[in-house]
Amino acid sequence: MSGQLRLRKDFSNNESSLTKVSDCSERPGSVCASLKAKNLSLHYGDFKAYDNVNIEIEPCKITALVGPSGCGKTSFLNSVNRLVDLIPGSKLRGELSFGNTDILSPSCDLIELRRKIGMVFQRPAPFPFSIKKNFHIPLKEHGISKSSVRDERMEQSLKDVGLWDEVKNRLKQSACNLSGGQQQRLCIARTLSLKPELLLMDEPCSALDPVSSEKIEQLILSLRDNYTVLMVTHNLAQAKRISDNLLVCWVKDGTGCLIETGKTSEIFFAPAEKLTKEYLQGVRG
Amino acid sequence: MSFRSENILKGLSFISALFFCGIFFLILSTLIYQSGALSFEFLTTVSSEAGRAGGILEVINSSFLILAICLGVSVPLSIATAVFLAVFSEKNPLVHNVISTALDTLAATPSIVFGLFGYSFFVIYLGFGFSILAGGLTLAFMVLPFLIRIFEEGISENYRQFKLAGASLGLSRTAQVRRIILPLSTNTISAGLVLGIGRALSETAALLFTSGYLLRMPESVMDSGRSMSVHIFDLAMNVPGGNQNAYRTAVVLVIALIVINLTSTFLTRRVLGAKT
Ligand SMILES: Nc1ncnc2c1ncn2[C@@H]1O[C@H](COP(=O)(O)OP(=O)(O)O)[C@@H](O)[C@H]1O
Ligand SMILES: [Mg+2]
Repeated sequence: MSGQLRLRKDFSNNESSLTKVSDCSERPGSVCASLKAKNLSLHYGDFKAYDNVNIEIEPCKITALVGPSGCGKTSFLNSVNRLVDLIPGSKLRGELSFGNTDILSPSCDLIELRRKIGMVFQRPAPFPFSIKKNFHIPLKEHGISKSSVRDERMEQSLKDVGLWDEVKNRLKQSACNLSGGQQQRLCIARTLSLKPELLLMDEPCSALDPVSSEKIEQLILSLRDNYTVLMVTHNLAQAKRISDNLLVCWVKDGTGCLIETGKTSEIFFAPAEKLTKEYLQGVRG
Repeated sequence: MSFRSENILKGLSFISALFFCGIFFLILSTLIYQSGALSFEFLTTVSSEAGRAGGILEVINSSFLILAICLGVSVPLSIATAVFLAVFSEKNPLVHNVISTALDTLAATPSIVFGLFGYSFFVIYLGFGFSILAGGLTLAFMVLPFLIRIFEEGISENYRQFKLAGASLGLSRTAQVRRIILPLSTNTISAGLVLGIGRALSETAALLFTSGYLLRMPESVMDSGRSMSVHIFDLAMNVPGGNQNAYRTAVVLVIALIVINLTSTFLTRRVLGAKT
């Protein structure tokens, strides 16, 4: 662990040049970058949202983050792609890295970081433009200047999420005309079109009906081999069904913290912590 | 709410709506009645006898030029300021508050004060003289706070709604503004435009000291020129026998405002309709 960390530090000088060279049309050689946090904490002004987070997210696996609401799950996801920067007064401390990238470094290229680390929100957030434009806007900003290439990317991603057949004849129509589940799949496709390596999903099914929810769940499972997925869910059955690894968080004295991490099957089978056991049994939380 | 009180409310709001329609028609019909016969030639011929006779072609021309300068300067400037306030000053509440206070103060300043400012700054200090340029710029300053407020509201609403999605896709704030926020703010911007045009067309005091009241066809923006509202004022106050043409000009002004309002409502509906 310490060896790996040192390796990351050695590389961190090259980081800016690395991110410049890597073209977003190509995955870097090792897809298997892992996300590591060490003593990570987040403050909103004087309020400490979570503290003392030490984890390593296994690459190419689905990791579920569960815990009672208010324990800082969303805050943690928003830290990983530095979306918390948008909140005045927020302050991240500790270490957080993704592969060779030091996420907390002031020189970290946020645009490239957020391309590599995609995010899907609880509420589907399509832009109120046409389906096509929803893809073209981010792809263009990430340097894909040829419209035909952007179209190919769009088509491929829409196929990956199983939405292509449903929308291929209405690409020029507003994305807002799609159903909630379709919108969420569109948002996942939009994120995938940027070829991310890590996908952050914040309760991606909780605003959807059971059928759409089931579709998204299958979709997430199908992403497992090619992406690292870190998913917040309040649905323990869902976490049990689809995740490989589990992070259980809790609120202690008003501050979020991790209480247990490990393989999902093991934690559900034999939780090490009493709190985890009570939470998983639905006694608390 | 009970059925009965709902009906009473409905009735009251219907009466007040009728009342305002009534006032509007009273104003317009008074103007038309006082103006006597109104012919199309009034718009296409120049004035004669100090405005007592003839049309208002040169006045329309001057008004149009003043308006163009006013909007040409104030609209881009206010969009830029609104974007700054709504999107980029987030991390600097002090700057935001200072600008906001300044804007509120400016918005409450009477137009005659803007006239005095325009006179001393544009006419004298910058040496523009009494000119359409000085008048247009003075009006631009005058409508700026209103435009900024309107634009800021719409822009910050759109930014709030889409900033997380935009940022999470790696869009810089500039990219979000260009590709998402401004395209979504077209209806706000057209609402602001209508308001700006309305204020600029009806302004008198600020123009008396800046663009002046020379009744002549302007050859360039450095010429003095008389706007419609100044024309009305001058005919009614200083020109014996000028009343009828003053009323005619007023009718033209009111009709122009109605047309601008309707056009923008129509355009906004089209834009909104296309979006949803
Ligand atoms: N922008 C913010 N400013 C201040 N406090 C916040 C903000 N966002 C969330 N919080 C607080 O941080 C804590 C964690 O919130 P959140 O990350 O949304 O939890 P979860 O997603 O697990 O429900 C909560 O107590 C919440 O009130
Ligand atoms: Mg949450």
